[in-house]
Amino acid sequence: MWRHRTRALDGARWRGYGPRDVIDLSAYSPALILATSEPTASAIVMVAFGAILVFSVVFGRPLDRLGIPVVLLFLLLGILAGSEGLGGIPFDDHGLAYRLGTLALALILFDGGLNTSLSVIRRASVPAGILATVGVALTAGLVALCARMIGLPWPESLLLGAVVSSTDAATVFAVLRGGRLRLKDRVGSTLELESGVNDPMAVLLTAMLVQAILASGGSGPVVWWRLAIDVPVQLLIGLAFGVMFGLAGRWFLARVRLGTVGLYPVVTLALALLAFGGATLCYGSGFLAVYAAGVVLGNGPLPYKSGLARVHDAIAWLSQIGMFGMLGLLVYPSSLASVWGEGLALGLFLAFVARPIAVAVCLGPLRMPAKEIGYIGWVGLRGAVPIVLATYPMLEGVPGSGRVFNIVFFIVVVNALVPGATVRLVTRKLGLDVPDKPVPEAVLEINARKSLDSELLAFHVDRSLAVCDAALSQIAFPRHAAVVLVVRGEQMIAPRGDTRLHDGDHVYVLCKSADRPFIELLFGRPIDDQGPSGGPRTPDPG
Amino acid sequence: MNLLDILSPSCIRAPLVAADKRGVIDELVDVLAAAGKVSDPGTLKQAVWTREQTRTTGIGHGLAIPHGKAAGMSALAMAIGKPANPLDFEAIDGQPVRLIVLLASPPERTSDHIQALARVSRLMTMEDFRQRIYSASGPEEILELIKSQES
Repeated sequence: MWRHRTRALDGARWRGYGPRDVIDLSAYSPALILATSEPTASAIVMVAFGAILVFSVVFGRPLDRLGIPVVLLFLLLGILAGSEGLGGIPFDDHGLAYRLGTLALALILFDGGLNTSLSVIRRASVPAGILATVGVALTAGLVALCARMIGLPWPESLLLGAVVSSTDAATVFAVLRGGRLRLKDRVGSTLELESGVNDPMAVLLTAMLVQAILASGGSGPVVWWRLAIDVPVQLLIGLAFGVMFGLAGRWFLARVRLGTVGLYPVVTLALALLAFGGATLCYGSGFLAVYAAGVVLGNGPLPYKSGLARVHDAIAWLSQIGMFGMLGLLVYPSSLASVWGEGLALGLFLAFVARPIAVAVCLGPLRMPAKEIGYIGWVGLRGAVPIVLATYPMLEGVPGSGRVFNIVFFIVVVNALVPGATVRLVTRKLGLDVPDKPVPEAVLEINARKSLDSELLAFHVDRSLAVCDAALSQIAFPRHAAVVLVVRGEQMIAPRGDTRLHDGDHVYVLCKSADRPFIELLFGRPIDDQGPSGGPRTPDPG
Repeated sequence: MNLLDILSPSCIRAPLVAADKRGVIDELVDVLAAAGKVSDPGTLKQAVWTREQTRTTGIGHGLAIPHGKAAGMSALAMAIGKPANPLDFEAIDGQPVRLIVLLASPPERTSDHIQALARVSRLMTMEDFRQRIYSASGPEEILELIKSQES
């Protein structure tokens, strides 16, 4: 779907950096020569980048507490570093931004897939599937209509609608986690899965609109019937590729024995790239493919799974920081000023009208409770996807795409701030939250090359559980299950028959997968259950 | 643990009046209260609901076993309800729930409470028994089915 026109990419255009700008070395002082010559220049870039990363990570938490999505900080840092900010880095290479952005999104989606459990898919596939297709199209249509009504021409209006039509759940979960909240099962699963699977639709809509606009010279009618055929075809091919690469990856990883543990994440990374690229080359949706491959791999037995997952979490965070920073660099604050009115209007329209209506239309027939529908409609936060998508029409030279890019920037910021800042309040008021649980002082996990037939589950004991105050010998464990460790404050307790579980303890239970429902009946929700906002989550765009 | 010791015939209701998760839990607690087994239904409702928030007790295959501990009870008690229509309980397998078994216990009877939970879930792992109890037409038939296993 992402067929670049050949003229589009002409490499990086980093003006003001690198030795090629130093024409006559003798004209400069030795100190300056040293500063702009290669080893030093690289070192300066690294120091700057390192400082930005530390700054982002350290200031992420206070922002979390305020309910401001931390990704906005990265965006702001990018703007500050940009040509009109303190950093003065002139960067306007949309081709490079688009490529890196696509790569970052693919890696983030892959990580999202790895962390999506089958139970989430089982619970939420119907509502999330409808939201990710019909909902996205409806949102795009409504936004386009609004844009047309406030005076933008049709091609730009349609592009705007398509570009901003997919949601980002990572911001919602980040904000909730800052407030030590987690969402109830169904609402959380729906938001999470929707965000994972709705990017492909937005990407397809955007790509096809761009092609249609270019083909018709920017004024003719968009060929709607092609959308109706191409979208399902590309989604199906993408899904097939993703599942295929996921299964192939499982098969390969189960058999291959690599020299060092560090090479396993290299294989999974390769699988992500192959799934994305392969599907795209075969006219499928790469984004759906990479997500599906992640889901298939993540729900299977993987060698050194927890370590592997952590590597991909780190890659996803780095992608998120890097992508928003880069997008910030692309933004010229001076050119934003001319579109703030349209941007603000469309941002508010999306949050208050388009998204709620689209969600109500999609979920109404499913007989979900009204407050859950209202909530999902309210927290349709936007992330990096729209900004990356907005670079695509610019790359293709679509008339008016510069204005579209600037308006999209506003829409994303408004949608991250307005629902973002109220997410916690609304969650509590509607009673859709479940208090998040404290993290144990010591974490026990199993790392093995081969898949094993049992799982290790961690639980936090509270008064509501049947096992609270019970001695271990009183607990009717299935034949192949037992408590293997109790963590009480900073104490690690070797479990004995007469060990009593106290309110506040963390307990590790080893059990067969088949016994898990019963263990959860006694012990509640496992701590790192990959349910909504459960466990150490990472960004997923969408 | 014999379930007949903690289940009175009056504590089986089929069909239930309530048609949502919270309503069903409240209704079953009220059934226990009406049978004189719970002196403070409000506290028990809250305890069961709190547990439900931690993790759904809809453990799959159409069964839910909401449970809780509350003061003001002299012994373990069990209530069984069959919803008029399969009910959304946010079960772990996403399937609607066809039978709800509510277990309530005094705070100090932890061991028995766990044994009863284990007994109910083990009974219901039997595919044949499960299907029969889901298709039971009324309280008497449900009681007979349990008697057939527990006596």
